[in-house]
Amino acid sequence: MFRRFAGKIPEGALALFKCHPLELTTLLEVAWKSRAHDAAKVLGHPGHRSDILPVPDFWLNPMSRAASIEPPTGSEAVIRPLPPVNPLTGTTLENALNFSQDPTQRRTVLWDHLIYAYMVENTRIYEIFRRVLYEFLYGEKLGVPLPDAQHWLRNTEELFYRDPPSFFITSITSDIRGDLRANRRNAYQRMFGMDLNHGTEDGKQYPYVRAEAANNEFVPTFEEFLREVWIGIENLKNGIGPNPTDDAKIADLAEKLHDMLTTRRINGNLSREEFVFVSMMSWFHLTVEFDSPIVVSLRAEASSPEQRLFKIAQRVGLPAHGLSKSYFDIADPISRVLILIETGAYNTPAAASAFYKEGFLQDAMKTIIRHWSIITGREMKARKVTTT
Amino acid sequence: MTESTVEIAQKEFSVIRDLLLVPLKPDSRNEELPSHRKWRSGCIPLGLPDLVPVKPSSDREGLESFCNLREGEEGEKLLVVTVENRGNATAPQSTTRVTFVDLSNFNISETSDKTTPEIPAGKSVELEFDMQRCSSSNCLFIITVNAKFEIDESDLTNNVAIGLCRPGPL
Repeated sequence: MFRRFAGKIPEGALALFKCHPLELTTLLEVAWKSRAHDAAKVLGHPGHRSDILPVPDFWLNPMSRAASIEPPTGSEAVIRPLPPVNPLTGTTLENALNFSQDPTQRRTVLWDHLIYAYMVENTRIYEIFRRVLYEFLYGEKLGVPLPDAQHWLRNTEELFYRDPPSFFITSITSDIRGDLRANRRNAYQRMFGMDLNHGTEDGKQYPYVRAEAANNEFVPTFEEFLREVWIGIENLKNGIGPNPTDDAKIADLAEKLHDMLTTRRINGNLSREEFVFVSMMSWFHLTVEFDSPIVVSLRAEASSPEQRLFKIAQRVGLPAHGLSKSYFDIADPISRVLILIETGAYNTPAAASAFYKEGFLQDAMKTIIRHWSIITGREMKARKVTTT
Repeated sequence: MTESTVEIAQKEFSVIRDLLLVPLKPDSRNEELPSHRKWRSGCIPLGLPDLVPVKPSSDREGLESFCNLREGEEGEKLLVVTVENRGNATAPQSTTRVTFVDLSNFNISETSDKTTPEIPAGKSVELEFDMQRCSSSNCLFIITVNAKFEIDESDLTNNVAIGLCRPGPL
């Protein structure tokens, strides 16, 4: 979310880091209120993630008005008086988006899939910045942060390293679930059957509640899906000879993924947690996407997010994941593709070829296939070998 | 022709992609979000466009400096209006209006609107207006950019310009 709030890098992001934490919390609350919402869709669908209410209007509206906060106007093609073709017609989000001229009624916000938070957190970015805060707040071992970095430190500590204020949508810690880090691992395990690739700082497993109901089949199913889509991409222009592309299998696997992901989302389950976790990770992602004040304070200027993270990790003595580039690069496309799969409308053999035919979707699939192979060490461009 | 399921799936992915658009691409190009996807917030000052009708580079001075004529494909006389975005944000689609004034009685002889495409900050576009009614005498015209107040601008006071074309060869 924060990468979208910033709008423009670096000016927008620098201004964002200087906002008051209450303004940032209000931004998130308005984003939740402005989420895509089609009551006719099943609860948990990308167009109807949750029915949980934001802070009531009598409180939120004065705050958002005073802070001049407005959600985006939405798709330009849609808000024109007489669009030649409505780009939403026929999509499952058609009725979920509301491009009202009244900002309090506008609903144009979609947030990333939980997989985005999982991928970004796997770089170890959260733990590394925890150390950064620790060192800057307890002493001057890393030097003295620049004036602009002071704002970032204040906001980061207030928003992500303490209990959020009550009543806001971001308030997901309590006496029952006191540890945000454990809460995130619990959500990842439930949704993807995966834990993060790092444990505690001393190398032990991080303690968290493992749910019995978890998508343990996510990884093998997703990998089979990637392999089948790659066969489609590889044989797209194959006009002669046998074509091993199997649309029915792609659709079958997409449906299987859809079923397991939406099962975890029944009645809006995990939506709030997803919203908070992807917002949190986007803050850290944004921080290393350019030479932000805290990056400069740490003398970690570099030309890419992972190189900045590596330098910061070196400064604080906690190594980042060596494949951080792949984790950053895969995060956006995999989030978008899983949201598409969760819409469910296109998990049919007739639509399966959309995943490998030329276009944005094929581009996204190629990026996912490339980086998933790097991250897992399992080649998605090779046929699955079965032993007998 | 009805859309196929594949086309709709690809369209839905484009919508999801648009909704989740972020300013930076993986290649670290610094890319601004399109205006219709931007959040507004008091603590994040939003850049605003500033549309201005600009004088073409010519030797003409005064009112005549806006007289930029071009011959159309069928030999008709066209008035070329240049609209520049001097703001620091992309200007969404808007309307530019040229009002032609009959100098014999100072009544409005014709009003013509043209859709002005999106103009990135610092860029300009040229629009052509038919001026057949002004072909035989002095032609006074008023150019108004963002004529229907469709977009927020940092400065509305520079949206109007007055020009004059005298009869003669192009």
